[in-house]
Amino acid sequence: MKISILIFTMLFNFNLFAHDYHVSHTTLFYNSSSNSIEITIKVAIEDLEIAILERESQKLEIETVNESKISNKLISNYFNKHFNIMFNDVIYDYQWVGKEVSNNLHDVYLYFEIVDFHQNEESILLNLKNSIFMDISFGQKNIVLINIEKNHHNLIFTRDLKSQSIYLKKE
Amino acid sequence: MKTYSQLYLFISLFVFFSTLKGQDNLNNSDFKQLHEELPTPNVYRAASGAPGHEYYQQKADYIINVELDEESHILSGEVSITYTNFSPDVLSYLWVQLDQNVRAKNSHSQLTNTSSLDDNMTFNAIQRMHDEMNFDGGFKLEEVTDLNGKGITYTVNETMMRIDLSKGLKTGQSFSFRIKYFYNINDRMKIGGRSGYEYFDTEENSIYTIAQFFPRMAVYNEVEGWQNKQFLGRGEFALPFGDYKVSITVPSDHIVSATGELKNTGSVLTKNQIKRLDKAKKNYSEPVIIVTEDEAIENEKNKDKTKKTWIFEADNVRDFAWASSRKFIWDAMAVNIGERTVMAHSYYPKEGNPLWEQYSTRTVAHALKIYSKFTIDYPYPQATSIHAKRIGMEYPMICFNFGRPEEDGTYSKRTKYRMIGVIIHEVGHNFFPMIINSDERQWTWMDEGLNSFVQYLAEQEFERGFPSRRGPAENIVEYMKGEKSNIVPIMTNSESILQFGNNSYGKPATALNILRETIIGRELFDYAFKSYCERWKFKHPSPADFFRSMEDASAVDLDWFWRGWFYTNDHVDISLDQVKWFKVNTTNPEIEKSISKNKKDNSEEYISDTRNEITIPNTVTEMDFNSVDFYTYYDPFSASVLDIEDYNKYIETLSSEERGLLLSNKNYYELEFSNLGGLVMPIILEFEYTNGENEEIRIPAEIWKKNSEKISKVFILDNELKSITLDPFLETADVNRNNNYWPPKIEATRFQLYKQKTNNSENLMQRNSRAKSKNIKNED
Repeated sequence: MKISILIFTMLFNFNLFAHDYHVSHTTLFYNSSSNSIEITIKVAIEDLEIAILERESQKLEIETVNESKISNKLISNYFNKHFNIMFNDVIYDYQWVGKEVSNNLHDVYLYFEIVDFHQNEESILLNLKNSIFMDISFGQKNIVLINIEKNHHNLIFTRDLKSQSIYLKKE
Repeated sequence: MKTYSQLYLFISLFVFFSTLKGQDNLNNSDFKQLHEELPTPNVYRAASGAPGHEYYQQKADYIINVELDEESHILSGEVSITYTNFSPDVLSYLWVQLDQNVRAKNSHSQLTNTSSLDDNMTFNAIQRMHDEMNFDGGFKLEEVTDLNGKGITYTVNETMMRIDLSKGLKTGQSFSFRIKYFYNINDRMKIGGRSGYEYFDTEENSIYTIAQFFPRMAVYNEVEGWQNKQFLGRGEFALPFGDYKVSITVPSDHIVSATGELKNTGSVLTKNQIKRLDKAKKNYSEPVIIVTEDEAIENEKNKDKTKKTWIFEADNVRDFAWASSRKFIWDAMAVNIGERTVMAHSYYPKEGNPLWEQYSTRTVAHALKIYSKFTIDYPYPQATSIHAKRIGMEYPMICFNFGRPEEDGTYSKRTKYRMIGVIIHEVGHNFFPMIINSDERQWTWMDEGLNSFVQYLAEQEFERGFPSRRGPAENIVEYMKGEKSNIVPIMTNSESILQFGNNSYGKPATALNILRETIIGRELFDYAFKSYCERWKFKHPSPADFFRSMEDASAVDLDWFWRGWFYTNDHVDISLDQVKWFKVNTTNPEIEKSISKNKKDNSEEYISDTRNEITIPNTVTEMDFNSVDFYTYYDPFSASVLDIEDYNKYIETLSSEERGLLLSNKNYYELEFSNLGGLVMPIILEFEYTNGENEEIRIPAEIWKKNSEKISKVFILDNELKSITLDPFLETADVNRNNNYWPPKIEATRFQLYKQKTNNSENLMQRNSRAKSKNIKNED
């Protein structure tokens, strides 16, 4: 179903104690010893399960005996679809490393990696497109922290701002 | 013309510079007292943080009769309100809150929530939107009259209703009126909400969790006048205390639970249920089942067309809520609070088992005990936990809590601990804000923050290592180091808060935990916190009353802490910039010269010197004896007889104290710190000595009192230091630990730690079941 972009008002969906604020945290960290970009994404387990259920009609049930055998694959697919990383207009695929439930059992950390990354030019254009969970939660905010050598940025992605670009300087 | 523009430029520059100068000359210290931020103390609110000698509050008493129409999900009835004015002011109108109007079509809540659609929405998201926008859940007022049935003048403004009084209501006078009304109950599963029903398709039954179901009086006091902020959905409620008598008419086979105590037990419960309830009242060790799972399953099979009325009464409460269903299983136990017995109840459907039967009532009892220890003795006769999928929501003596196992009866660790956590939290709301009755519409943190703090204490007493979400300092780091445009101070009105959960639950809970563990200390903190709770139980505290009480009862000036943690969005990042090591110059040539020699021998060698050792086989002075003189082989590090004589003479001129100091062989360390995050905080250090010993140093935050950006501190130590760690016990919420070490050390990221671990994709339960099946095979 295709719906054109309209802006209008709607009733707020109450999120009480159960799940009060929809936010994801992503860190892109350049590891100079391994020449890789380490991607850590923290999301609420509840959000992730709803997103996969609504998109893929699959129940994840993370960390339970019933956890889907292909849950890592499903998660990986979802993020590759909703979180794109481009350097100088080339999309970089990132590989699945693993996942880990947070100590407080509310969130799950997802680990991905871009291996063999070399920044040879003086300045490169990094473009990020992040629409994680924006298809299920209207107030979703995705915070992305960029730590690539001397470049430190903190970007916030919302429904109205899904794509952002910055220049990364070598020195 | 030209002259004018030059003059204008001159004037504006002058104004600009003088403004800058003015700001420079103000006291911008982080330790400046909060006198300008806090309201001036008065006869209603004392400077100590306690209620003043003329403190007053209004009273609202309710008689409510409502009836539930299960077929069409409509609640209808009437409420009689008696409002008593204890303020010194004469009131010409009253404001009543019509909170259900937040669900009226085109309400301000709908209109003021910005959102957008895009081309990538799921079907369910679109469906939810339709459901929300098409539902009309506002109050339908049928009659507004005095108690004799005579109409009175009123005006509805969104979620508020003004009742006009024909003559002013003076101090001590009461006014009574009656409202007949109905409204459509919302399907919580479709459009959310704190109140509503959950429908179970398979047997066509519902669980009703009903609240904000009657027009409620707004608070009037000397802080806000009439509480005049509309209900937009976020900022919750501000309500006066009063006595309630509530009659609830539902299908005869429903079980009803509510705020207060059931007054017509004989006409709504069976003899068997009454017998079991009596047994529960005497059982302090475990819950007693009053309606069993089998009875509930039997009960939900048929639908009784007749109706029964349940009558409840509650005294000195600020609100009333209830739950009703034919699906309810019911258990209860007695809890000792001080000299009194309080009942803990739970109501849940079979879908909640096995979790609810095992944990709900036990958790209610635990929460009551721990909160009573840290705040005030729970004053009400009972506390109830109702099973409600997805939400956690609080009312006096009753709360609605999530936590539903899978259909096969299994449940994840997450489901279990989050259920226990939410029950502790919502039962805890009895204390904040139901009894210590802060204004939720203005300040979410005053109930959610304080409650999340005690919740953390209660969770840790439930089980060692309980997976608490909020409380420990390190849990708030990610939020506080975030982009500042997305973070507002805690002292922000409820509706304007960004990152709601972190701002008003997490950060204040952490701040209180830091006060307790690091700044004030447990004993002083607990006394002060309890004093605040005792002072303001059954009253309306404001933020200043809390800030002042905590200082007044602990004798710790916390203005700097409230300023930093509650009035700014700064974070903690203290950096250990430099460590300098000094030894006293003993002036003894034998000691000092050998130290100097050692220093030279141990210093790094310049690369040319290293290479020249090899590439220059012989220099001139090595080859030609005649090129050598006194200076060629003079050893500056050797002490001559004359040097030693001079030294002995010098020692004789010193007093014995001076001599002691000179020979003490102490190590002097100068540590330099900078405050990169903005928040001034205590400096906690761990010294590790070369002899293997460790020492903990705790310096109060006042070390920053004269310079909140850069300071140095000298330590005189017997032993030599091997390493220093700043904030070694993770207690200050320092967001960057890479500048906390000497010698410098970079901490591994979470990603790297994960990768270092040997990993397999199996979860703990899968691994456990694989281990079990292996055991069985081995036994075969």
